[in-house]
Order: sequence, then structure tokens, then C-alpha cells
Amino acid sequence: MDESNNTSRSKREIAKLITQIENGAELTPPHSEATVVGVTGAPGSGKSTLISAMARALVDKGKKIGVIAVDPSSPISGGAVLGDRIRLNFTHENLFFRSIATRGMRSISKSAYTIAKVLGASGYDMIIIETVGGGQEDYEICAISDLSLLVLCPESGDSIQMLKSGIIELADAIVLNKSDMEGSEIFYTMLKNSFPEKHIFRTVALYSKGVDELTSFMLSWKSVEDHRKEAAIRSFLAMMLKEELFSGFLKENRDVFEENVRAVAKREKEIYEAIEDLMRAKHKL
Amino acid sequence: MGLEEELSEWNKSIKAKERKPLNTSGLEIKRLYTPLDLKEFDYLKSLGFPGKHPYTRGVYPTMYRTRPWTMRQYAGFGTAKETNERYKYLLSQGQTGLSVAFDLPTQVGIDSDDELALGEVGKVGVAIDSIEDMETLFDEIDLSKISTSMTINAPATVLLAMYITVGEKKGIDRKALNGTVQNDILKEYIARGTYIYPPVPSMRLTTDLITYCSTEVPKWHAISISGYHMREAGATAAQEIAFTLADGITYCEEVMKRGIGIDDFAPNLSFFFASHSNFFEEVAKFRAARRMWAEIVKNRFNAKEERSCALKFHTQTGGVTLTAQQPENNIVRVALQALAAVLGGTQSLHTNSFDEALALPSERSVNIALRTQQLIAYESGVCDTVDPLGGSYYIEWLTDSLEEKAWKYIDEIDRMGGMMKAVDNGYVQREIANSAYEYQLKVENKEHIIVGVNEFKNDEKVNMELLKVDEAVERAQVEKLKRLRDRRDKSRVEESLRTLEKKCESDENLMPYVLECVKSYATLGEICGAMKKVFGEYRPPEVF
Amino acid sequence: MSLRVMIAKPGLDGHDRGAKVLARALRDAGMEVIYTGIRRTPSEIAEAAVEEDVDVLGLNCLSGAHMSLFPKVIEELKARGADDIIIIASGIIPEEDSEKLKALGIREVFGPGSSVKEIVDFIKSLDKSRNG
Ligand SMILES: Nc1nc2c(ncn2[C@@H]2O[C@H](COP(=O)(O)OP(=O)(O)O)[C@@H](O)[C@H]2O)c(=O)[nH]1
Ligand SMILES: [Mg+2]
Repeated sequence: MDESNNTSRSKREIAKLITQIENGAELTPPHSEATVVGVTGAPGSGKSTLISAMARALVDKGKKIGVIAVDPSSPISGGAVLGDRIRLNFTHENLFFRSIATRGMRSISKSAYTIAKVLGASGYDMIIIETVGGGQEDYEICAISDLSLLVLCPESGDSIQMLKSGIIELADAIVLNKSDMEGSEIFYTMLKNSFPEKHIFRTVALYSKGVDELTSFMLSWKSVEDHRKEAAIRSFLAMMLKEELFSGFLKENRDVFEENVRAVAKREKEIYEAIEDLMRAKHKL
Repeated sequence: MGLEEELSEWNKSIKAKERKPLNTSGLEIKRLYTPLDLKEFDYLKSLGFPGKHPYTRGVYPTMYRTRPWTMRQYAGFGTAKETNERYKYLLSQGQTGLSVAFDLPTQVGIDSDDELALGEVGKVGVAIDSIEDMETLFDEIDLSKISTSMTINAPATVLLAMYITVGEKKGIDRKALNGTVQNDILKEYIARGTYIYPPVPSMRLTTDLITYCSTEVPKWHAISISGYHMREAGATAAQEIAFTLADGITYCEEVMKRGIGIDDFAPNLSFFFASHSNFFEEVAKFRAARRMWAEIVKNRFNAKEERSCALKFHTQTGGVTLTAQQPENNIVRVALQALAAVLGGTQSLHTNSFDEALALPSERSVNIALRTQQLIAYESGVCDTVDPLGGSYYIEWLTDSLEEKAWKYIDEIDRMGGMMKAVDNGYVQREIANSAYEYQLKVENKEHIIVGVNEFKNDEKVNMELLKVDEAVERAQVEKLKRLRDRRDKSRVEESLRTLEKKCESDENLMPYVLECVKSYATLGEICGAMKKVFGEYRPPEVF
Repeated sequence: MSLRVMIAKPGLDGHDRGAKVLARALRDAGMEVIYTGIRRTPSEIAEAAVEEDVDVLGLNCLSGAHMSLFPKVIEELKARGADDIIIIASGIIPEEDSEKLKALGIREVFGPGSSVKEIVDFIKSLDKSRNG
């Protein structure tokens, strides 16, 4: 596998490489200077619509843009409907849009980081990652991105939840989308008062309003290393470590694990008993 | 012993095994219905008399004893010239109304030479690019004598402007024109998919058209509020009436915001429903819809005039119920569905042709479809008395139960702040998608039997003569457009389009400006394109 | 390894109930499904299929424009060196058109009356042969 910088890769080659990463190929993320932008926010806040509008504006400014849109896998079937692409209303040679599923991870797919680096190494100037937007845990995106945007919208209970969670402290900027809706003025004033030091943008993603200002900001952004970044990295590393340990455990003990799942489901065992048994299995290792 | 004890004893005495069927709306159907199921029943309040509030039994006092429903078959294909010939044939056979089917490029407001129109020109209806085509479509047809129904929504203002202009050229005053435009944009977002602009500007175009017609084209039905397409997309019977009436509420509110009184436009509203296969459920659905609309117009909008409260509707038999397997069976399905529509008191009816699941209907199949209606009207005797099923314990219970279910949806939509919000957040689409998915699962598990599809199958190959649209239509249409663009007065076209674009930013009624564009020979795609520049384009919420 | 499938609607018809029901059924069968939304041109569809690197591309069209649109999609995929993507088609497609489309390289055509289960089973069988 060619891991070095290669800006002459065709879309087809990049796409195949991404598939290999998704399927678990061991690949050291290549070096890339491309800005990675994480976009998070509650489902329905308009992330995909906003990304489509941003990508349009950035491509029109002559940039090569990569988008990685993450959607959840079904815990039951393992399948997924990857719906973010519906919002994308154009294709362009300077735009690479890829939908990926979480495949058991909570928010950002394990592979998103490597894929972003591959896109960067393939000549894309800016990589935008859309997270599932499942809630608090989404702040791991801040760890792997140079710039993180939190998308909120007025009148949304979910947006209010976002305010209470840690993510608002970690995000580099807030985008108040759906500014065409009732209550957006009040929400904006409240945000400004509560977070005076934050960059706050107002957009109507649906009609590309306010998007030029936002993309100019993105292009001029210089990443800062401060306590926010540290906190984000701490939680991202913790999550990755859990994943690694768990998959190591599963490699040796899949049968025991599945046995315990079935036993609890059939009410033959309490869930904490199962955990104790699994811990015992681990120590035998 | 009273009825209650007798019934419970009778029920206890029964040992036989039986099914516990559900209808499409999820209501469990009991073994038997008795007066006990109509506890709150008050004849005058629940039913009343035909032609009187709440119109449960029908909107006219004598219904089909005076005149059967209007048999109105939807037609259009290929070029305006071909369709014109079909119309002249239909009129020579005694049909008094035309129903125009437009092709998809026309329905989404693009020209035949647009990249997206590839392969679609003249396919599901007639291709109209400019006033030229509209003139050809109605060549040698007297617009003062017929009524014309046009299935057109997002670009309805443009097509109506073309129709008015053709009338003018023939020397007919717009006040004498009679017909309908569908003009129901909300259901395009929910189910049918031929939208152009986002909801807010679309709603403005809809109300521009309604208000323009109320004074300028008074005989015109400026909207046909449609449940048909939601039903086709998988809605249940209860959802169909609930969402349609909720759309109706929204249109009324929007028009009233312009300072027009409910009684000034409500009598000109019309509705459009589907008739599907669950016979009694369908009959009850139509009756429930009438009673609910009467309640809405009278008590929610405080109408003073009785005639404002009467829900008049067109029905089409269910396109999705037709099967490609053993297609002749569809003749029977259509007959049963048509009968339900008639027993439900429809004002006009389109019966589907049995080969529609396979391709555009042939002349022979269209003929059988029309004959089906005539058979019901003249042989079956169902027209002899008004609302013959009224008073049946089952039918009245079903009517009440569907109504109750439908009100729940309407209340939920009200809670969300109205239909515009409920469409915007995908609620309505989600409800319909869930019903569609559940139905599909039932069919796959054979919980729901479809003859010839998941049971009672034959192995025979389908062999039918099918009508196909010649690919030459597209080339001809593209050529014609090119000639028009070379010939017309370019500066007048540009001027009229610029003015329209500017007026889109104001609050003025756009109809007069659309008319000017049409007259300057601007094309449909150019006119809709000018409005797109200001209004933007709609993108749907993803709902699975 | 999840099979990746793209469901695309070239052309203008807005009836995507069938496409969505299929997308959902494929997800429930464990596949990753990308739905393009309605009104996509053949070149947009091919570009998307390449970027998403799908194993299977399902084309659905109900308006009768399939003979103009589907061959164009095949052409656009070829131009991008992606003619190994398996294409299946569904919609109101008469028998004689179906033969022509298969000759052009469409793997299977599901005409009127095909059930969702048939299509899902067919795609599953492709997955087996791919892994086997
Ligand atoms: N009114 C309004 N609606 C918007 C705006 N941006 C997105 N939407 C709508 O919000 C819904 C969810 O958008 P989507 O981009 O899918 O949100 P995501 O789940 O965060 O990716 C869609 O119906 C969009 O059309 C906006 O600026 N104004
Ligand atoms: Mg999204």
C-alpha cells in the first residue's frame, strides 16, 4: 500500500484505499498539513446541509475539499443507512464525499482520523468530518480536528442539552444554524451573553446564508494548543484505549463473551454477574 | 335479558377458531357489530341529511339520483399535438371534461432540453415548454364549453397563466374559464416529490394563485387538496384523511392571512382521495373526511355559509394496488375500489387501467376502465338511494373510529405548530414511511394476502400490448425549443423575467408578472428559473 | 465486512417509497446503504458511486426513462474506470428492455411485481460469491 503523499491518486484509488482502512487494514496515517474540521451537533441541527453549503462555497473559492460523513450502524443488524449524502446537491472534481458507518464505535468512526489524513495526503486542502451528533461523547471529535464547530439551532431541546454538556466548552466555534426560524434572535443573544469569548456564527444552511463568512473564518483558522485541546485528547485517547483493550479481549474470549450475552438475555444471569465472570476470564489470560 | 347480556352470552358460546383482522389503519375488527358499538350515536348530529351539515351522508340532497358522478379519466403523453388528438377523440365520445397529465420535466419546472430532462420528455404526460405547446394542446377545442383539470403543482401559476393566455387568444374571457389546478404543494414535500422551491415561497405561490382566481378567474378551482399521493406512498386510510385535512387547514390559514374571508374561498376548495382495496374502510374514510371537514370549517374557521363546509372530492383508484402479476385481476380490483368511492359519495372518479403497473395504459385498457364506472352507475343499482350503507352498525362504527384516529394526528400536528412545521421536521414523512414499511413486512410474511403476488400464483408469462412513447418526441421537443429561442423577441423575454425576479422579493401577487413572461414567450424553465434565483431550491429531510 | 450498496434514482420521478423501503430492508440485512435522493443525473450517480466505493449500485426509475438513463450511468462508470461495480435495476421495466439492459452489463433487472425480499436475497447472494 502506498502510504506516502500522493496527490495524483485518482478518486477511484482514494476510494479503494478508504475501503481498506474501513475494513481494518493496518495503515499508519500519512503526514498531511490539511486542516481537519470537525462538525458536531444534535441530529437534525443541519450539519449535513451546512457541510454541503460550505463545500460548495469552498470549492467555488478554488479549494479541494474532502468530506467524511459518519452515521450510526444498527446495533442489531450491523447495517446502516448512510443518509448525509442526500443533503449534498452537487458533485465536483474538487470534492470528495465519503459516507462511513460507526461500525460499533460510539461517535467518530475509528477510521475517520486515518481517512482524513489519507485525503489530506492526496491533495485535499481541507477535510470536514460530520459526526453522528449523539450527544456528550461527541467531543472526541475536538481531539482529532484542528478546528471544531458545534452546530446548534433555535427551539431545539437537543441543542439545549448540548449547552449543558461539555462539548460547548471544547468547541472552537459555535454555528447557530436555522437563523430563519422563530426564536433565533433570543437564542443568539443568550449564546453571546453566556459565551462572550466564543466565535459565534449565524447561518441559514438551507439557503447558503452566512456561509461565506464562516468559510472565510475556516480558511484563516490557526489551530491553538491549550487546555481545551488537552481535555479533548484525554477523552479521545481513553476511548481509543478502551476500544483497543476490548478488541484484544474479544480476540481471545469471543465465545465466553457471547455466552454471557445470551445468559443475561435469557435472565439466567444478572448483568453484574456476567461482568464479574468476564473479568475472571480476562485475568486467566 | 338486555342486549348487553345476550351479546356476551352469545360471544361466550362460540368455540370456533377465527382470525382477528386489522384494517390498514390498525383498527382491530370485531366479530360482530351491534347497536352497542354506537353508544354515542345521535342521528341528527352524526349523520343528518344529505346536503346538510355535517354532510356525512353526502354533499348533495339527491346525490346520484339526479346525476352520476363525473367520469374523468386522466390522459396525456408525448407531444402536445398527439395529446390534442386524443382529447378531441375523447370529447367526440361525449366526455365533457379534460384532465391533463404533464410529463415530469414540466412538473418540476424545467425545459425539455435541460440535462435533467434526459429520457423523461413526454413519458408520463404531455411535454409543455412554452405557450406555443399550450396552444397546440388546446387547438380546435372550445375552452368556454369544457372544464379542464390540470395535475400541476409547483409551476401551477405558470401553467394557469398559459391556459388563460390561450383562452385570450381564442377570444374567451378568463372569467368564463372553468377547471382545476392541483396546486397542492404540501403533499409534494410529503409524498409526490415534484417540488421546486422551499415551503415558504411555495406557499406564497399557492396563495397568490388562489387569491388571483377568487377575483379574476372566479369559476376556477384554484386548489385540489390531495391525499391520493400520500396514500400511494404508504399512508393508512386514517393518515390519508388526517394529513389531507391538516393540509387543508394550512391553506385556509394562509389565504385568510391575506385578509380574505373563509366564505369567499372555501366553496372553491376541492379535495382528491385514493380508493384502495379494504372496501368498508374506504367507504367509512370518505364519510369521516366529510364530517371532519364540516367541523373544521364551521368551528375552527367560523364559516357562516353552509356551502363552505361541504367537502367535495375527486377519487382515483389505488395505483399501487395494481399488480404486474396476472394483470387482468386488476380489472376486478379497480371495480371494487370504484364501488367503494361511489358508496363513499365521490363527485368525480378516475378508474385506473389494468395494465398501469406495467406501462402507459393502452386504448383498450382505458376503455375497460371507463366501462367499469358506467357499469356501476347504470347496472348495479347503487345510485338508487343516497348513502345506502348509512346506518350499518359496522360502517358507522368504522366511520367514528377512523375519525377518532385522524383527529389524533391532527392534534399532534397542531401541537407541533401546524403542517408546515410537521413537514419540515419530517414527522409526516416518517409516519408514512413507517406505515409503508410495516405494510411491506406484512406482505412479505403473508399476513396480508395479495392475490397472484404472495398467494394463488400462476407461472404464466405476462404478454400484453403496451403503449410506448417514441424517443423521437424528445428530439422534436428540443428542436422546437431551439427554434422558439431563435425567433422570439429576446429583449422582451429578458425584461419580463427580470421584472418577475424583482417582484419575487416583494409581497405583490406574482400572477400578473408570470402572465407577462408567458406572453413574451419565455419558457417554463426560464420562468421557474427566475423564481428559483430568489426562492432557492427545496431539499427534503431524509426519512426512512 | 459490510457490503456497501448505493440506491440511486436517476431521472425526475419523485416516488421513492420503493427505494426507501429497499434501503431499510438492506440495512436490516446488515448492509451499509447510501441513498442518493431523487433527481440525480447519471454523472452525479457515477461520481457518487466511485467516491463511496460501493459494491453494488441499484438504479430505480418509475417514469419509463430507464432506456435513456441507465445506459448513460454505465457509460459514466466506465469513464471513471469503475465498471466492476455491480449494477442492478428495478422499476417499471418491460421484459424486452430488461434483456437489452442485461446485454449492456446490468447484472439483474427486477421488473414490476418483484418483491423487496427477492432483491435483498439477490444482493446477499452476490455477497456470498464475493467472499467465497
Ligand atoms: N429552516 C431551516 N431548515 C434547515 C436549515 N438547515 C437545515 N435545515 C433542515 O433541517 C433538517 C435536518 O438537516 P440535516 O442537514 O440533515 O441535519 P443533520 O442531522 O444535523 O445532518 C433538514 O430537513 C434540513 O432541510 C436552515 O438553515 N433552516
Ligand atoms: Mg447529517
